[in-house]
Amino acid sequence: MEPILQVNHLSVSFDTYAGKVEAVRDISFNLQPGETLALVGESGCGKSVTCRTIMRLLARNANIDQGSVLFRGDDLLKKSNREMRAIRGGKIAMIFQDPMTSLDPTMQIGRQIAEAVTLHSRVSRRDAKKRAVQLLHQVGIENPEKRYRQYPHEFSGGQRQRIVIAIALAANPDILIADEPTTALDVTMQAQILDLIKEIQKATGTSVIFITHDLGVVANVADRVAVMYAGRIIEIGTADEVFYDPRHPYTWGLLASMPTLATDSETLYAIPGTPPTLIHPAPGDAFAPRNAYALEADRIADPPLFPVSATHLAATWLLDPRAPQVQPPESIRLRAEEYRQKQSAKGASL
Amino acid sequence: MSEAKHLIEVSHLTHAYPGSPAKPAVNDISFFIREGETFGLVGESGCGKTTTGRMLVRLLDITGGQVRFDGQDITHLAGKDLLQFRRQAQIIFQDPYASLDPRKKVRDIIAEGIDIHRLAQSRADRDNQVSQLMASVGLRPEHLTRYPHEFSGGQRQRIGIARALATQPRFIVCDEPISALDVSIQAQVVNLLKEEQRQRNLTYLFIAHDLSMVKYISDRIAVMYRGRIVEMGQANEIYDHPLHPYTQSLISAIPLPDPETERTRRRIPYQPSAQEEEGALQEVRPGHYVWRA
Repeated sequence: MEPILQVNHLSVSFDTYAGKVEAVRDISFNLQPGETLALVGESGCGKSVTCRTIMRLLARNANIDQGSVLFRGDDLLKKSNREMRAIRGGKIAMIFQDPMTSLDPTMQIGRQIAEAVTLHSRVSRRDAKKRAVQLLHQVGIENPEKRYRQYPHEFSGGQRQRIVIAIALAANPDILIADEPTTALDVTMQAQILDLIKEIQKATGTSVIFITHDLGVVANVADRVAVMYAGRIIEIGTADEVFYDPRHPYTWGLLASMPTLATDSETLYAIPGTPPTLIHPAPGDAFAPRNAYALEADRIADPPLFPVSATHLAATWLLDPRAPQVQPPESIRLRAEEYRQKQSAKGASL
Repeated sequence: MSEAKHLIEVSHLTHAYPGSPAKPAVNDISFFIREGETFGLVGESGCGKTTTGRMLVRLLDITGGQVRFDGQDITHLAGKDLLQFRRQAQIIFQDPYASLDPRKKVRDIIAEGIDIHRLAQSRADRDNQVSQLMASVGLRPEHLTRYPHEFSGGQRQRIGIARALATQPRFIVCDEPISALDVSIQAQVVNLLKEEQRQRNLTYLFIAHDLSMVKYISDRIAVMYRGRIVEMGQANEIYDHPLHPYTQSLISAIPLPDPETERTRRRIPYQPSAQEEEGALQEVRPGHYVWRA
């Protein structure tokens, strides 16, 4: 299948008083129609900048140093602002972490949705209103006719995020970019919003890029996962490959440092240190100073993405044929072991 | 553990904010915390967990009920007695950006408690105490003269922990201390909190909405819903055999880093029933309490 979005060798930097910040460094990935790709990583890893670049929503001090973003084969980085306005919200829609900042507090929520409808299609006011009510219903707001006339402050946090999703869906976008849409919500509300996004995707066939730092959320929504660190994609693969057969020590660290409900060891596995600043990054692998598995090669050159399978890549010198064989942390080995057992049990029952 | 004395005893604790006296944010809750124990408090935003934590260190007035600390009634302490209590009961806040004075150097932030309670014999003693605290939370000596804005979120939380430890407290309320931190930093801070607890025999009230982390760090857990404790017991017991429908719903919603589990996940929705309004916490198994109508 032809990917709907192709990001090729994208690099983005910001000019700041302290120097040039290399926020995104040579990343490439594809998005297939109807799939959910999760971008995971810590704050400052470049996941949000990547999505803002796709949407062409970067601040003025940003430079796109290289690369292309092909939407249905067309480079979005070459579009005029006017052309971008039709794509933004029309073909590619975005939802943000804090619904209160994306809604106008002084405007009835129904009108905000209807506005998004009329912006991208020629419809009468009455039809726009009808569509808005229908969208409210679709995102699970009860009594949509009545609530159409209410203001954002009359809704709970979870309901506001539903309204933001309704606005994003107004023009039937091909791609929905969700930037930490559930981070500000309680677990029960979060679960409902995740279910809603999945339902919508099933009904409309929209592709989703889901940005989050929560690996539990990733496991819930993602078909494929790209793990980012210091502006690079350091591992990418299907959800099963990344969660059950991770190859990059940073992915190991992230997975091992999260307690599951079964964890009861005295200390948690913790990645030492903090992420680097991206002003004049040192040569070599940016993760090397925090990496217990770092090799001499890591200090000299940034590792390329080595293929693990047709769909799975990881940027670590450990995958180089010359590298020594190492054992991942115990909890990662258990994870893989458990998965293999489950799979073979499944195979036996078929 | 069960023989340890009760450091904190809370009975019928209530707090009504002035705006809504008829709907208390914390409504008649009772529990105890053993010395050296970590007691987890979970629930959704607005359930009253932070209000409870702040009352226990007397940052908020207790409008009803009683709190005893090491046998002493602290509900209405004032003046010198309150100051004396506060030396022993500290708090670590959620937002490491908002809870440190931006105009103070790290040295003076950490020494705040030492100064207020006159715990240092001399200037040199003060500096010495601060240096030891910095080292134990993993900060370097050169950080002493820096300002909070020069630090990352995780480092700021370490400063917050050092400040809380400075008065040599026996009890610390940890109010969502890791929620604002990155995944790779959360484990560092949790390990630090556990390490300090072991070394200083600290008692923690750990407030959080990350249920996996609460289960990991806590010995016992109370689940709060709309100002009430609806379930309380040993951490394992609560997670393995949740009895209250709200607890069941909450646990069914925790996303786990395991795609296989997530694909087959079935959420249990929770609809509070009207008759549940009236009820009481009942002991259904030794140490396991559930709200029953």
